[in-house]
Amino acid sequence: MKLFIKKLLNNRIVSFFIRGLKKISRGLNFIINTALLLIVYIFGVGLTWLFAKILKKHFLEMQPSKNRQTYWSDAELRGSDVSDYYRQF
Amino acid sequence: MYILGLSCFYHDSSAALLRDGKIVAAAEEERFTRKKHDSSFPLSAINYCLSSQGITINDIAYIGFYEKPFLKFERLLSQYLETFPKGLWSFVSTLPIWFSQKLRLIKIVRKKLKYKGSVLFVPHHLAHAASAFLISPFQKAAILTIDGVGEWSTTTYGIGEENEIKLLKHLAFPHSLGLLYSAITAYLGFRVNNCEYKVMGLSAYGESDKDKNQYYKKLKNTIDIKADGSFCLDMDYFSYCFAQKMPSKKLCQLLGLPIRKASEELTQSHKDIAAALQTITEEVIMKIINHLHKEVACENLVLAGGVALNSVCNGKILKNAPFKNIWIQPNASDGGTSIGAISYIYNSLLGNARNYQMEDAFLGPSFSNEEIKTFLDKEKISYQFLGDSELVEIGAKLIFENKIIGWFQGRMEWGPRALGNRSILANPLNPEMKDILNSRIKHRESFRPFAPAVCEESVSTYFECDSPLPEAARYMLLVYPIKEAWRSDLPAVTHFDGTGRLQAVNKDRNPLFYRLIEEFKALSGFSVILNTSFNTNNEPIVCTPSEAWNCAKRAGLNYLAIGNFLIKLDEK
Ligand SMILES: [Fe+2]
Repeated sequence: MKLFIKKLLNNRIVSFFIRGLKKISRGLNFIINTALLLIVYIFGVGLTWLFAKILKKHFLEMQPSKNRQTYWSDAELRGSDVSDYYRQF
Repeated sequence: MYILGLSCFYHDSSAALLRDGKIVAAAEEERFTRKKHDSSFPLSAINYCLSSQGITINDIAYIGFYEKPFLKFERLLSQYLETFPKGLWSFVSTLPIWFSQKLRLIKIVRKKLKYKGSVLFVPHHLAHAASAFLISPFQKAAILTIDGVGEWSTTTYGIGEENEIKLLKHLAFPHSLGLLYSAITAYLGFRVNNCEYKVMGLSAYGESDKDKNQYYKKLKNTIDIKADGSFCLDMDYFSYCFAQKMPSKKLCQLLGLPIRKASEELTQSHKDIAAALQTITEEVIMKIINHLHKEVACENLVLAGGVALNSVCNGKILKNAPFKNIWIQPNASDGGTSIGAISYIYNSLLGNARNYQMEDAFLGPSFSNEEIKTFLDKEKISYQFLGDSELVEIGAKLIFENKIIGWFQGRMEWGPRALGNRSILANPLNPEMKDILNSRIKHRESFRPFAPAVCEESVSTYFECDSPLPEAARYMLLVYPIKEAWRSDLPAVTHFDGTGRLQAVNKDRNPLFYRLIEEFKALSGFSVILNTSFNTNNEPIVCTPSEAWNCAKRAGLNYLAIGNFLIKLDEK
C-alpha cells in the first residue's frame, strides 16, 4: 500500500495536480487572510482609532514639542529575576 | 553550561553559543544560506554552533532570544492605531508574518530544534547593551545603544558594573536616529538595512561645512534636538509608521528632489544630503555622549546598536567627549544581539562573574588543511602547498606586484567586516587599485572606499588616531584621518576626505595576517595592506573553501591563498 502511494505521488500527472492544488490553496489562503485582516483593520483598528480621536488619546508622539526640556524618559527597570524573562512581554 | 543565543525574523539572523561564560561560536545565518541579511530562523548557524562543540540541542541549558516579541507587536499595533487609515496595506501585508512566525518563536524552537528546555526573552536594547558591556575590557562603563528600533526603545543609555546592567533612560519609537538614517538612505536610492554604510561613505563627497550645505538646514527642520542629545522627529516628513516607503512626500518637497532611483546618477545634491545627514547624526551622538558622561561618572564608554557601526562618527568620539576609553562589539547591529542575550543570561540573570573578554572576532567555522586539500583534489584544482613563512613571503610579494589575492584563513569573522580571515587583499600603494577593485572585482559603486589593514604598533605612524588606540580599531569600527604626509603614498586606501577605515591587526590575535603585512613592509616600506571583504557585490562574505574558490573565479582574482595552499587563477 505504502509503495502504491509513493508511486502515485511520484507520478508526473499526480504531482502536477498536487502542485496546482497547493497553488490554489495558497491563493485562497491569501484572499481569506486579506479579507479577514481588512475587516479587523476597518472595524477593530478603525473603531479604536475613532474612540481615541474622540477622547484625544494618542498612541505615538508624532510631533516635536518646543516647550519640553528633554525627550528622555525613564527606561523600564528590569530586575534579575529569571521568571520575568520567560515572558514574551 | 551551554547557552544558545538567537536573533532572527527582522534582519541579519544569527546564533551564538556560550560555554561556561565564554563565547565559543557565533555566526550569521546569511553565511550558510547565502542570502544577504537573511532574517529566517538561523537553523544552519545553530547547527554550526552545536557541531563546533560536538554537542546536541539536549546539552543546551537555556536559549536566549534577542527581544520580547509581544512588546514589539504592541508597538506595531500602536503604529496602526495612530496612523489609521494610512497603514491599511502595511497591516494586511505585515500581520500574517507576525502570526505565522514572530509570535510563535517558542513553537518554532520546539519544532525545528526539538528543544524542550527554557527559552528566555531579553529586551532588545538590554541585549544590545549586554553585547557591548559584558564582553568588553571594562569592569565599569557607561553604555549607549542606538539603533532603528527594538520593542519600543530606539536609544538607551545606562551603566554597567561587574555583571550588572542598568538602563536608565530611553527614547521611544518613532524617534530614531537609525530610522532617520535609513529613511535618507532610501531617499538616496539605496536599500534600507543594507546600504546605510554606503551613505556614510558617500557623505565624504558632500559639503561638510554646515553653513554652506543648504541641505543641513533643511534636514534640521525634520528633527528637534535638545541640549542633552534627546531628539524628536517631525513625523510629517517620514512615512515608516504606516508604509514600507520611509521618506514622505513632504520630505521630498523639503529637499526639493524626488526619491532617487537606484539606477540614476548620484549628483552633488545627493552627496550634500548624505553629508548633512552624517553631520546631524554626529551632532546628536556627541550631545548624547556628553550628556551621558555627566549622568554616569565613568571614563569608559561602550556602544551598540546599528548606529554604532557608523565608524566615521565613532572615530571622532574620544576627541569630542570626556570619555577616555571606548569599546564597540564587532557585530554591533542586530546580528550581535544573540551574543548579548546569552551573556546577559549567564552573567546578569544567573549571577556568574564575568570570565570572558572578546579580543578578536574569529568565532565562525574554520577548515583544516586536510579538508581544504580534499576539496581541491576533488575539484582537480592545482595548487602549491606552502609553509606559513613561505606563504606570507610569496603572498606579500604578489600583493606588491599588484596581484589581487583571496585570503582565506582560520575561523570566519563575526560581524559585517572581513578582518583578514575571509578577505580580498591588494596593494594600497597602487593609485588605480581602488577603481580596479570597485569596477572589475567587486562590481560596486565607484565612490566606495577600501580599508587599510595596519600592524597595530604602526597605526600612529599613519593615522591621526586616539591614544591609546581603542581595541575597537581591530574591527574596522573607527575612521581616522590619514596623516597628510602619507595620503599620496596610500591612494587606494585614502578616502576622498583623507580618512581611512582602519583595521589594526594584532600580532597575537591574527599572527599570519600580521606577518603578511610585515613582509609587505619589507618590500614596500609600508605596514599597510588593502583589505576588503571576500565577496562580490550583494553577496554574503564567503564561508567555505568551495565558496571562496567560486567567488575567486567569478571575481577574477589573481591568486587564492586558502589555508596553506596557494592557487593561481587565470587572469581576467
Ligand atoms: Fe537593534
